[in-house]
Amino acid sequence: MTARRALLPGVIIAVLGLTMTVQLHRLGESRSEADQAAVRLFSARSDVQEIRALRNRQARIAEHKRPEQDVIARVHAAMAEAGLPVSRHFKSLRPESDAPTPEAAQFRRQSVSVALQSMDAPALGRFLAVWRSANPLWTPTRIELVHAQSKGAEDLYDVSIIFSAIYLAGLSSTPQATQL
Amino acid sequence: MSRPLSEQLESTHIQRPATEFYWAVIDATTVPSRFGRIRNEQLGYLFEQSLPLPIEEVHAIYARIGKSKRFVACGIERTRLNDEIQCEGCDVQVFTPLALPEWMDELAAAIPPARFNLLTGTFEPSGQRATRRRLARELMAAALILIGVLVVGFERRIAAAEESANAVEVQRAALLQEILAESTTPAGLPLDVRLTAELRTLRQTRTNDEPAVELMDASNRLTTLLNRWPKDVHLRTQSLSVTADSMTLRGLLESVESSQAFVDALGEIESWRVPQPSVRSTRDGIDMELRLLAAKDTLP
Repeated sequence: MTARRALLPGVIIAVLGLTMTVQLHRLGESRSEADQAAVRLFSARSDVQEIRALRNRQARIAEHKRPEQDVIARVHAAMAEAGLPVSRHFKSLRPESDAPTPEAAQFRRQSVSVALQSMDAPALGRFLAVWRSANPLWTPTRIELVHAQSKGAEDLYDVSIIFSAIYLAGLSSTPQATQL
Repeated sequence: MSRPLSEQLESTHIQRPATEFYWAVIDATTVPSRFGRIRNEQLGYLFEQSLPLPIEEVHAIYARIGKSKRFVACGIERTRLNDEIQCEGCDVQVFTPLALPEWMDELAAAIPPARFNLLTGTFEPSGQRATRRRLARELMAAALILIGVLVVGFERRIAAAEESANAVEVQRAALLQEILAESTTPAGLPLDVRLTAELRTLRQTRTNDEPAVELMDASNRLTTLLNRWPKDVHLRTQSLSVTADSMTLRGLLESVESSQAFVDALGEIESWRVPQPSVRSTRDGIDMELRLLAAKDTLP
């Protein structure tokens, strides 16, 4: 009985101490977690700010490979804006190449060949000017003009243009909603 | 009618001359102790050496002399102590010697006789024991309440910290979802992975630094060529080709001399060189093929 009586305060102190230790540990962990969450939020805010700033810049390299249809749509849009009837001047579009760039392994170069017909030099100039402002990622890397053979086509040319774009290799090639 | 106060005090506090007790000064320096504490049982064995009877038959109490390891032991036969406190109508609370023996040294003698209350342990008055037990129970209850209060307090703080962390995470997730709504990264991936991918993509595609890969714009070269086109020479252009490293012009001229006019005019284009054109006479006129070659440092 005496031994039990002597033991009791010790047990109470031990329970108190254990409780304090466990609770302090849990509180420390919770506060540490809250602090880490605050740091992660701060870091995310910083990243979001950088993303917004980067999105406001003009893209110089595409994020994905563009499908053929997308480029056709762009050519048609540029022709329409330049006042060139698509039915009269657009001939064809075909993919030319898609290969890694020799300069940097993380990029690929996609090229498409666009054939236009019966165009005079001013019309070609208008088309290229519109294209340049609307599609900065697609650079005309080769332009060929061949005099049209048809009758009464004194100053008309059949034009072949190779448009090339650099895009990031390794990402999904699925077209997304982002406008290049 | 109640008893007088002096009589009441006498019945609750019994004092006996020192000669009715067993006394000894015990030197416990050789006794092993835990945290400086020496148990009464250990002191009892030392006290027994000075007793004429076994220690089990004596109820003893010990008082430390100063801060030394010496103790004054005071004991009385258990049977006698029992007889003393069992008197009828007595409610003995304290049982002490009147004084300490004269033979004790000055330090030991300085201990007040009241320190040698022998009503402890099994002789502890029932009232005191009940009071002490009640106090112990109350202390235990207070300790339990204290533990409960501490646990509740800690739990509330822990819950607040967790709530705060969750709120911050929710805020962060909303922020990321908002910014990644326009992203091209696969929606099935975790937000953190998508954020990293988006940032890396944008850094690679929209940096202000010189891009690692640069494409030559043929339209610029065509513009340059057309700007230098000699206006006073008539050429029926058959074909014109502009690439990264060359511009090739083919057409019909009226005379061989006109070809030199083209060489002179186009030769002024900076960073391009114009070798002699290929010229041959045909039925329709002079067929000229002129090829401009880009200087190496102008190539991308």
